[in-house]
Amino acid sequence: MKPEKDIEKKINSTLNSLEGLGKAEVSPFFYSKLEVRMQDELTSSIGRFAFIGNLRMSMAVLGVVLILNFASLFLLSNSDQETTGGDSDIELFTQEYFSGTDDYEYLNSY
Amino acid sequence: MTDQELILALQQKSETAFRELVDLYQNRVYNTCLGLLQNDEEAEEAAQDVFIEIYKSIDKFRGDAKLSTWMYRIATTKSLERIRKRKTQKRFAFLQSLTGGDQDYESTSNATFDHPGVILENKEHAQALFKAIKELPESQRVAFTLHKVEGLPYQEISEVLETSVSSVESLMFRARKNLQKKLKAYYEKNLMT
Repeated sequence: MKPEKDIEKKINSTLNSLEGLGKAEVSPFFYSKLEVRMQDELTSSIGRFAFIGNLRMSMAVLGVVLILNFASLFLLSNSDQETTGGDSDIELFTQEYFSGTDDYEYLNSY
Repeated sequence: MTDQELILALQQKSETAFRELVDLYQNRVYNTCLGLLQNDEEAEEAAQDVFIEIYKSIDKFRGDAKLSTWMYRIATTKSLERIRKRKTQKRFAFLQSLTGGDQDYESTSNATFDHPGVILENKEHAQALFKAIKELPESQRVAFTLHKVEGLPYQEISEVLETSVSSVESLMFRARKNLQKKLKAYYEKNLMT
């Protein structure tokens, strides 16, 4: 019976052991350490590749890349058409200069 | 500087205001984290997390609650995040210890905590109490710590936990009952041996 009472007493003392608890204080270098961590974390969040983590920025970059791709595709297809047109000019040019000798019969008149 | 002025200055990213905020609240935030985490190094890191979070999200602060209440809420959240992370690491360490990988598992999981604010004659009892608090469910642990360690009234705890005062009363009642059970088992085991 006595141990039961002892235990009861100990439980009550334990539950009341935080009465009048004093305040713990941070180390004197708390602010300096905080400053260092903030510099690390906040500058790394604006680091070279950190924007990849930002969804909005990623979507904007993706949009720009897509626009550039479509623009270059459009420009390439246009230049292909121009090149095709250019081929016919070359053909005319070739015909002019390398055509059969019959075309130059007049030279034999000398 | 009033809370309102401080908030406005913080929203304009004033360094002086931030320093004032840290000076004003660092010990309250640290004590809350220390009571929950029961480890001074981790508590200091968690307190830093709190101020970094405040700096980042001060623009979202609508002023519905008091600045101190908002800070206690962040301190509680950050501490609980660390407790959950620690639990996951412990589980992993336990699995490693089964395979003989982590020999330190036993020594780290049974570490006792000495709160620097406890008077000498209560040290032993407080150690047992903190050990029992660690085993409480999260909400009971937070309510009990905010009341007993930080000395917050039930009204303010209810604002921090975004619940009613009667819910806090119920949490405290259950926490006390659970602690009595745990302490009884602890003393029965230790007094008999």
